[in-house]
Amino acid sequence: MNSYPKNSEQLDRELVLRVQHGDKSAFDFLVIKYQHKIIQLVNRYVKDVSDAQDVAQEVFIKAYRAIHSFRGDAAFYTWLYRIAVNTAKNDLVTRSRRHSNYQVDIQTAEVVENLLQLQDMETPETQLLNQEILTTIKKTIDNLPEEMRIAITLCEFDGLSYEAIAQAMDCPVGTVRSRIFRAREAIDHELTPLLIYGNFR
Amino acid sequence: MTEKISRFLDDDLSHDETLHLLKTITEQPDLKDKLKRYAAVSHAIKTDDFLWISIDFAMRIQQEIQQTPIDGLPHQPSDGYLLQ
Repeated sequence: MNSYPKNSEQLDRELVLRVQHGDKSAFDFLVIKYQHKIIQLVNRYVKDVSDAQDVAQEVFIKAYRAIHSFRGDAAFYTWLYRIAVNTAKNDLVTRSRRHSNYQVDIQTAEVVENLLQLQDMETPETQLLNQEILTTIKKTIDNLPEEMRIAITLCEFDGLSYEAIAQAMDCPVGTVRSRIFRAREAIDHELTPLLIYGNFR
Repeated sequence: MTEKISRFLDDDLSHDETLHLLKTITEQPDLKDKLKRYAAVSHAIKTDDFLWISIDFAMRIQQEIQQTPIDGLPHQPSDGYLLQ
């Protein structure tokens, strides 16, 4: 991936600068850009999805409050990533203290994390629906035309850039873009009824 | 525009395309939902875990920061979208 990493970092720097000059709406763009990555990252520590989203919100709010201290020495996402990991670990410690009289420090957060992973946070209905969603995604990919299946597989499973996929498939980059897009649309088409049924909003 | 959402997920958009897409997404809830579904599917393919972001995730952050001053800066109202 990352055909445009420098463009992406440059855009982040511009958006941060706008926020630093008081344009709060520029921060909305940064939230949209990174919300999925941050929630996925936090969810590695905080297993309950709802709690993970609360922690991820805290991450963005902390980042906003501290944005004046961001100097651009590292990429914005690197800076945000550090805030996310620290916030998630602190959250684990706070939760463990609520449930225990033992003193836990940040170094033991990994142990707490492992314990929390053992907890079953989902209802059987949610688990069943999630399983059905995963099965639908896999089935749809299996049933895609070969060129679309290969393109989406190289992109998602192998993490190849569009240029690398174009080389591997001996076709123009534009064709790769189109194949990956059509594959995603096909999955989306099959998935949408399930999401409506499951009240995913 | 939906193809650009697909490309956005794979970091395939240029600076200007990304900025334009982000601005459009904030104005069109349908596109925001599309990004959410694409991102959830992408994560599910990689991890076998379907992670769904609640509808009010970004909204709650937005509400919070409207009342939150930046550390070291005086409170300022939003100037709106400066870059078109």
